[in-house]
Amino acid sequence: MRTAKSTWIIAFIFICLPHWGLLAQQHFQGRVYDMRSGLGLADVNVKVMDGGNVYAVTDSLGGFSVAALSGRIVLRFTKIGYEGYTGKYIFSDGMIRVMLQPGPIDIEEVQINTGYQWIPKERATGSFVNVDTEQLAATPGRSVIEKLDGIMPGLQFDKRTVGPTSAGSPVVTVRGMNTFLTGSSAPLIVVDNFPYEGDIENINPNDVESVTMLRDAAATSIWGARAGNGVLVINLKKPDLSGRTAVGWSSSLSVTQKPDLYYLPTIGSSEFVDVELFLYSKGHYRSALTGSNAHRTVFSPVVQALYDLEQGRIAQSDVDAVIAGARHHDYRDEMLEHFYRGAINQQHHLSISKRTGGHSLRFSAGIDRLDGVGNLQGGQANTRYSFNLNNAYRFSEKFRADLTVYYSRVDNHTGGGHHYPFNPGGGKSTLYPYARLIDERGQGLVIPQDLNLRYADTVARDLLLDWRFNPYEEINHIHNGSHTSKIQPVFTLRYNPISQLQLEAIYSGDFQYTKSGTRYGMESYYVRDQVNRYTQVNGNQIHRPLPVGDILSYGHSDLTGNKVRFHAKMDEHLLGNDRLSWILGGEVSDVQTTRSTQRVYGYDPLLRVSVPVDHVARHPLYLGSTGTIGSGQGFGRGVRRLVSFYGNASYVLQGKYILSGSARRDASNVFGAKANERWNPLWSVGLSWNMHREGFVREIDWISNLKLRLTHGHSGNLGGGTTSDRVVINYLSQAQYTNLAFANISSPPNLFLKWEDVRMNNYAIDFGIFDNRITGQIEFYQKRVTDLISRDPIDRTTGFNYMDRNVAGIDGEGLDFTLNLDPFKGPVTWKMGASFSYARDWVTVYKGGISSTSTHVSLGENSVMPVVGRSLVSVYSYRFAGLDPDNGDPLGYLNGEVSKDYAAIMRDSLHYLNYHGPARPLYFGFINNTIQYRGLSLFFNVTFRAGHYFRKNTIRYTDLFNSWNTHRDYERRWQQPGDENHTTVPSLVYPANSSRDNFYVGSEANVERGDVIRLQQIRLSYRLVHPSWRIKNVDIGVNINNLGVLWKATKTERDPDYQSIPPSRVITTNLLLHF
Amino acid sequence: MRNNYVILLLIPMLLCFLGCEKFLSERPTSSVSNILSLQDMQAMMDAGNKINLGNYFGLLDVASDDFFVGKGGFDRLDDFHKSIYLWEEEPFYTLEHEPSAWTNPYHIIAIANNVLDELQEVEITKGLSRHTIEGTALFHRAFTYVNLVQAYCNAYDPATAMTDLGLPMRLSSDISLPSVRSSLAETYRIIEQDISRAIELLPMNSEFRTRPNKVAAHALMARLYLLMERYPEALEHASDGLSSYSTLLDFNRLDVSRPFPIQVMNEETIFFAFASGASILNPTRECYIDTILYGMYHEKDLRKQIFFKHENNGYYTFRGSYRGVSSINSFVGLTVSELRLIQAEALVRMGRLDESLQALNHLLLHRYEQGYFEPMTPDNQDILLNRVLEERRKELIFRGARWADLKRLNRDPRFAKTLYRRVPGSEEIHQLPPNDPRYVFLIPETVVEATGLEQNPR
Repeated sequence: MRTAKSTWIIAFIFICLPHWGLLAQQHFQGRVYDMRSGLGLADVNVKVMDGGNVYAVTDSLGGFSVAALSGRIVLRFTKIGYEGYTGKYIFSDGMIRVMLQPGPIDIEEVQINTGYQWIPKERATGSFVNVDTEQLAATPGRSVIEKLDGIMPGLQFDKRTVGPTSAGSPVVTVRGMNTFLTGSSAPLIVVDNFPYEGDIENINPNDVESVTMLRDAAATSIWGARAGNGVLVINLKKPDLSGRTAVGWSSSLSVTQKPDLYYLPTIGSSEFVDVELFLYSKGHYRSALTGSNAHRTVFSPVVQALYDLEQGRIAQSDVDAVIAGARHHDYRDEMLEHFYRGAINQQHHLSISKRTGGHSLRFSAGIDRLDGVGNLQGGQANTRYSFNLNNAYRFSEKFRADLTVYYSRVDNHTGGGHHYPFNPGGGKSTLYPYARLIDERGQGLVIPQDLNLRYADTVARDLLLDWRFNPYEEINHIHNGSHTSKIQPVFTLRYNPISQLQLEAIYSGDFQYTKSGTRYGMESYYVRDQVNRYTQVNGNQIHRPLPVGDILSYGHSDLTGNKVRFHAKMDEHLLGNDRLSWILGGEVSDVQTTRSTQRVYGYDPLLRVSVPVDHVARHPLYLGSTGTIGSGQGFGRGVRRLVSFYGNASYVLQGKYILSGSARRDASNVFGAKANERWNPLWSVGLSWNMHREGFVREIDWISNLKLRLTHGHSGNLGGGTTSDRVVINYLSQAQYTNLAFANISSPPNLFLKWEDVRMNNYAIDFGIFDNRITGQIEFYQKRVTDLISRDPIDRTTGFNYMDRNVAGIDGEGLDFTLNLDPFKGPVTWKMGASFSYARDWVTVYKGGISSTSTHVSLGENSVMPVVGRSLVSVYSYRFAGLDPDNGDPLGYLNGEVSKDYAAIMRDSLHYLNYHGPARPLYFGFINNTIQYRGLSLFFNVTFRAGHYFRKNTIRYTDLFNSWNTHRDYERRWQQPGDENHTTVPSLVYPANSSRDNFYVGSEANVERGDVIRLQQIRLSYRLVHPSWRIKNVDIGVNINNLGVLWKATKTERDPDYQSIPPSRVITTNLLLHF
Repeated sequence: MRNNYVILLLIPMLLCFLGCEKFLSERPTSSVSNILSLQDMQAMMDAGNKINLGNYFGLLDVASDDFFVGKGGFDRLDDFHKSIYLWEEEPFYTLEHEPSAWTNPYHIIAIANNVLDELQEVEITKGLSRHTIEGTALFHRAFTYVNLVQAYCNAYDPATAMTDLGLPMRLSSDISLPSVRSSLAETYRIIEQDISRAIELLPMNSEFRTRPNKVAAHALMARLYLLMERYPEALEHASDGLSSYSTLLDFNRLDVSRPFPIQVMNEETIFFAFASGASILNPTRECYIDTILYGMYHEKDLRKQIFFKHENNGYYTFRGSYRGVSSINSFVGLTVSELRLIQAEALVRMGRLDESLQALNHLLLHRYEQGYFEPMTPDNQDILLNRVLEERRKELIFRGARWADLKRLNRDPRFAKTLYRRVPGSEEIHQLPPNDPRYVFLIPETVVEATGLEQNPR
């Protein structure tokens, strides 16, 4: 229904709006010349100064035309390599003639968007970096953020948990981490003026004009309490105001290869069988095979056969056959063939931009379809439809309005496909490698799951449902879908009472609706298992409290956002030789979310009926004990409100010295009213010096641009958790025994809580030398995060262990260096863009609980575990003293002496651990090269990360014996005296000792440097200009992504950037047409 | 002129800022809130997971003489439980064990204090009264203090109570107040005051056995006075409670073939509560009933079958928890049987032998196989008292009562008893003489360090 409503709104906008604002207007025409040569100058930017973002660009002869509603106009002309010029014109004067003087090169007529205003980069004192349309278009990707990897200088992507068979998503950070909350380190994402709510994948990257990253606190402080982690401002494409009608079409097709399952360092099936034979001979399975829990224990076919032989049920030859069959089989082959597929992603996008009188319009529509989500078989598809409509109206010289509507819909469907490896349960965590999934006729075979396969095969067959798991069949029995639609209207009114002063009011709405559900077909293992578990057998009578039929879990969630902003801004008010610009305003936002979930049983998808079940009673379970049938019921509502006031100003003195400042105050409903009173305004100041305008620098010919910038500022973080000056309670449902709703205290009264403060100093030099053939930027920053919300131990007699208080701190420093080379002018050009970043942070104050030594070793790499003086996410290890030459036991140190007391070593103080360093790179960046010859261009992108550490996996004998988790280091184990000289892998001992395993896994022998250089992308493209009269140009290109590692510091096989299988290669072809 | 525009723009913004306090007071998540109504308070006290379901001090039975542990079970224990079991002088509380011994019980008190402090501020919810809510909070606070006083303080002796160390009594939700140990007399005085107020406030009936009512408050008061050895008052409250509710489970009607014949929330339960778990009490980890104690049950005493399960090695494990499941958490709630036993003990100590016998016979009639129970006849006071105490031990096994009874009875030379514990798998014997300082648990060292609370002597 929601969807219908949104479609209706779009239709309405289409029909009604373009007819507004057809007012009389004047077309100013003119021509721009080079003062030296007197020739017409092409590609000069012509900006209507009192016209917001109205631009025109001169044609090849220098001609231009701009529309205005009155007879008077102020125009500013800029072009790289020329001094800018501003002039006032009257329509009746006729043709405008402008001479531009080549001069100290002003390459910075780039406009950047802070999310509140567009400012010329020249005027900025803070740290802004921009990625433009062209760069975005050259990188394939479904989301804008994904595209920024490797092209946005200083944006760090931690993709360790990402991969074709892992569910993680990249952790994106700007200038390090500023909070202890692992999930809250991402920058604020702003789309067209307002913080974006929801999944950024809902935005079609083809509709993105540019992305500006705000790095230092002077840049971000305008965003106040939400900007402590940096800001990414995404600017959507707007109508082209130059007046020409433009149509663009782009299509791309990319293929993602199947994942490389053989990348995982497991041991071969034959060796696995040998281990099983060894364990059987040691009686390892004895008690499990004969025990009372044998029916719930999973055994491999080899072990089962050996036991059957012992019981006299089968002959030796049968066992030999089982073993022989197992030795040469690896189920990964079957998985690759029958469970995985190549994923195909198609993207098509059409855009039309047109101006009719005072009305300009841009419309775009896109469809993206990914077949084979997760590279899995089974009709897995994700489709995104997006429509974007922009209207810009000029009612009069002074009054303008914009209306934008963005609509997107994402449909996602997945099936019952499964990634490698299977987890059989029943005491094991990884399936034995020689499992057979498919028979000769291509039919799926059963594998053990949760229960002993033989038990599942025989237990009460005529009364219970088939209790066996057939993974191949399962693919078609589970249907998982979600649909999200989102409509965002943005309405802007601009009024210029006098030229340069503008009053602006913006309303932005956000209406998002998601429904999702999973239907387990009655044929699925999940349903059969659930039904059987609750089945009560009494003689030949059966009673099923959980009925046979599909199980359907479904939910809805919606989001409603309403945001309003008012501000006044003054653009370049002239005061003698100086210019003053300022903005002052306020905004209110209210974002509300609701959600509900539900689960029904015995569902029939055709009749749409379900069977009621008893959710209250504790039913006896077939396998023992009792259980209730979950209703999956849940409801929730969330409200986030924010009221903010902000302002900034910049003063340009003689075009050389720029002083800027900003301040912001926020209040929100997060901490309660009192917290808002304590909130200090966040502010920043900046200073910059355009040295190239100084006489003494002008004399040096080879310096074309030189600018110093210095800023100091504060931005904030909302911090985590919910606390308030009064006690906070958290409602939960279904108390034990009573089923009542109940409430727990989630935090005691917290009187002094305030928001986190991120303070940053930024020192920067921008330079351009040799006619800007070499340009670049060096920025150094220091940051100090204070009032960090962290647990503070309190008197436990109060009934609480900790309280969240503003007690912790982080310091950091870093460097961002970008360099662009464009040395040759000629038919063959070579351009290089390089970015080098250094970011380090360390904890200065922390009073919360310190995790145990062994936890730091095992989890430190992936989670924030603050320790004063160290990086937030760190790699630790136990000191390792090699292997015992007599028996291959690993040796560590305890009290300074070589020791085998593994349990004591792992309990020892954190102080005695090796601290290797951060788990996230200290240094990272990229080098892009573009070689161009006429229309043909070759682009390749090399990325690097360095200065960090990772822990490689290795063999754990306990896991090998008990849960079938294997590792190839097994082959390198100590087997005889002397081996200790060339291996660190301990000998196999039976029975396995988990402390010994854990010690070795956590020892320094398995810590490696993470430094890596990888070839991220190669692109070959060709641009054809004016191939026919209607087409302006055509771009065709081929792109290959994820080409792999060029160099790495570690000698192990693992790719340091990924903890599991690295992403597969993606090959993309694309076509762009501009009419 | 330019400034006028700015002012025009700022006026609505200022107006908005003045009006935004209400706008910003909306709760961020529907399930998260401040305490606003009596309903919220009721919900806080219905949170069994933080109150009566597994948060009381749970080591009282671990140190008692009702059971022993086999070697296999003992070897799997962590050092902390081993040291409690062997009555070591300074058991080392790890971070893992500290909460269940200190923070969790005090969290119950914090819940009660927050309710009591905000009680007058909140809105009335239909169907709930401030009286019930206040009585419930006072009951929970008192119940927890009664539990803690058995662990961290000496047995009550009116002669020394003014100088004996009591508990740190937290009676306000203000977490900035320092914790200081009160005298034992003060501790008991406050508990007594809380309970008597709760008796006034609580309704006669409650909808669930997890919510206290007037009977429960009388029963708690009877328990308190028994600890104080104030028998007439104990008798008064036990009788008051029993006059309102006196249903006993008839063990003849229980199904012995069920794995756990006693059902959860049975009609004998007045207030349902269990302490935090101790893995040492796990029947599947060789926690066996003391063989002498097992021998004390008469052949026709149904508790012998219903409470205990025969294991292959000839020992018996406990299956008679009022939780209705195999459990490592002692049931510490209030039952009619406990009230009968308090009544019987108080009467016999007051010399009212006939009435005492009547109470005891009434209980045992529900415990013995039908037709086999021969009501006892009055005897001399000492013999009857002995019998009452023996029945008390047999009935309240693994109910957290034994430890306080040992402490209380040790002060009487007639009942003083030295306990012995053999280190499983060795010949080493540990002793616990009567009135040993080790009868008082140490306060976790982390708490002592953080607060400067006075530690119990060793």
